[in-house]
Amino acid sequence: MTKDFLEAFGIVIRDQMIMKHTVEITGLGTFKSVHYNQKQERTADGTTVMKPPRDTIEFKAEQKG
Amino acid sequence: MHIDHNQFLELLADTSGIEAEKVTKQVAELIEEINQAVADGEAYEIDGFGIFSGIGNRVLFIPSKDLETEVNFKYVGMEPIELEEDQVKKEKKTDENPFSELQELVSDDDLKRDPFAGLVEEFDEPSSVSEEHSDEDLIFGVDAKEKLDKEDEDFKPGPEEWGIEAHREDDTGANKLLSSLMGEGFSESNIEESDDLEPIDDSTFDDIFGDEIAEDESQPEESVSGLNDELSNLMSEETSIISSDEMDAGILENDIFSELENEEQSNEDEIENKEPEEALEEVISESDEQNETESEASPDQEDLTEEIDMDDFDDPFLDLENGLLDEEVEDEPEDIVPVITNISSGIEPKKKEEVQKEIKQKDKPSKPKKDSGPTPIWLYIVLVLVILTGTTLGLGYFSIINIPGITPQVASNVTIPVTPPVQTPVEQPELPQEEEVVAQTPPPPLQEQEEVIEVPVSNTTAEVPSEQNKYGLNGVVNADANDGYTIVLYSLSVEVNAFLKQQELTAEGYRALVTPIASERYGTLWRVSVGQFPSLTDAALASENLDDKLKQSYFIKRILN
Repeated sequence: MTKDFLEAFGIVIRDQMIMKHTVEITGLGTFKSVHYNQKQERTADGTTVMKPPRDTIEFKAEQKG
Repeated sequence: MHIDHNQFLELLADTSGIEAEKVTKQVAELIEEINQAVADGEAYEIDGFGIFSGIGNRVLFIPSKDLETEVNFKYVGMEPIELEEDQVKKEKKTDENPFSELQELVSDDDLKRDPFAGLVEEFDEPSSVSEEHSDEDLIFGVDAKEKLDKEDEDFKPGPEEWGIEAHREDDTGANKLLSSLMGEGFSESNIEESDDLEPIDDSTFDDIFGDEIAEDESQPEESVSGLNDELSNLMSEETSIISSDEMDAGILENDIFSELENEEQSNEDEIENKEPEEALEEVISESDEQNETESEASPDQEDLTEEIDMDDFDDPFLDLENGLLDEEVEDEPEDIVPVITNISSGIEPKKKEEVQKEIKQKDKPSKPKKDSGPTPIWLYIVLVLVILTGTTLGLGYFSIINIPGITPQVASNVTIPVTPPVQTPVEQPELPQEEEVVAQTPPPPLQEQEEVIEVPVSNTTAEVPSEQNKYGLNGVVNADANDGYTIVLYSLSVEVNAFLKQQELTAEGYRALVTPIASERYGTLWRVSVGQFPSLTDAALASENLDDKLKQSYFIKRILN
């Protein structure tokens, strides 16, 4: 594995995540972009905090067997 | 959209530029390594991408911070905000609001339409930010509403009370701004009359026409009841200016200055000024009649503005031009003072003077040429001096006039660099001791050579054979060839030794010359030279034919300076 290959690996998955696509890699799993809306959360202090939205990358490993 | 394994390999090959086969192999290797690491209970990290780790049979992927920020590029700058209880209630209502879900659907639809929208947003910050303002409003809607409420409490009556009064206040504020920017003649009366558009036109007239009309308006005018009356008054005043212009520009100036300086003027002057004032009143009345007819016939403001513009803008430019042009004329302030004094005398002489002024103004382009008279004289003097110096130098250079330092005498005395240039008098063994001492003395410097006094050449006279050339290195000295150059071999202080040397050289077949040279430092020196040559080059070429002993030290010089 070359360094260029690893960089391209990350870039390709990143771009697809930004485009809200799911990427399936056989033998490894599926990468998926998940959006979380803004939400209020109450902290331990009792104050309520509004959290901004965010996108996360979820990885679901391929089930073996 | 779903990217399967094959599509992923294609994308990877396109992105990395590596062949598809190698890409598949490397992907397989990567998958094996990751699975092996997870099976061993270790973590496998890819720089800039994330960490694969395993807990039991589960494989976890922890994206790196770089990847998270890149994926959440749209939400950059949005941080958690602490909310108050009131805001929490409102936010609950907003949570119940299904618009957020609709927005998600809309965004998904957009993305489905344009699959590259995400990439475009990544590189196009303004668009992404503009899109995020909607989300930001949703997120920070409570805070933004709070801010808006505070601003409304401070500055605005609120949306429910927002009405005509507030609008009028804004209009007055705007009018104040306009008046402050445009002119001085703003007053609340204008605000009261703001329902009509014409007072605004008046302000524009004020701004256009300057301070004169503003002052006139500031004065209480009983006859002014409406806008048309004001316009008619303006018309009359302006037309009075027109009429005065038709008479003469000077009369206008006189009128203005008379108004300004009435307090200072004596009663006699006022009595005397009645005559032109009466004449002006007559002219004004005539112009009023004409303008009234014009206003009745066509009260268009454009025509008025055109006429007024002509009146207003002609005078200042004429004044400016007069001022600029009169700066070069002798008396600038006197151009104004005589106009005031001439009011008492009458109109006709003023006209004559002003006609003369106009004639002067017309002739002004030619005046600066006359004013520039003294400079040519100065230039002429400089030119004469330059020419004289140039001629004298030229005459001196061409030896018509003997100017030390310029005439080519110095050039003839200068030793010509000839190989070997360095004189080594010690290497002259054949000379007697006295001659050696004399020969060791270096040749006189240029200053001494400049001080040299010419002495006729003294040499042994002998009959010149007819076959001998006039110039040459060998043979008998020819008196007719003394206008040329010679090769100086020795400079001796003893005359006898010089003649002895001459005899030796003559015996060797050279044309030997002995030339006495008077020097202030060394007394009289006797130069022993050989050859007579028409030019320096000939002498230099002939020097190559000298004996080796003589070549060691010599210089070429003109025989007669």
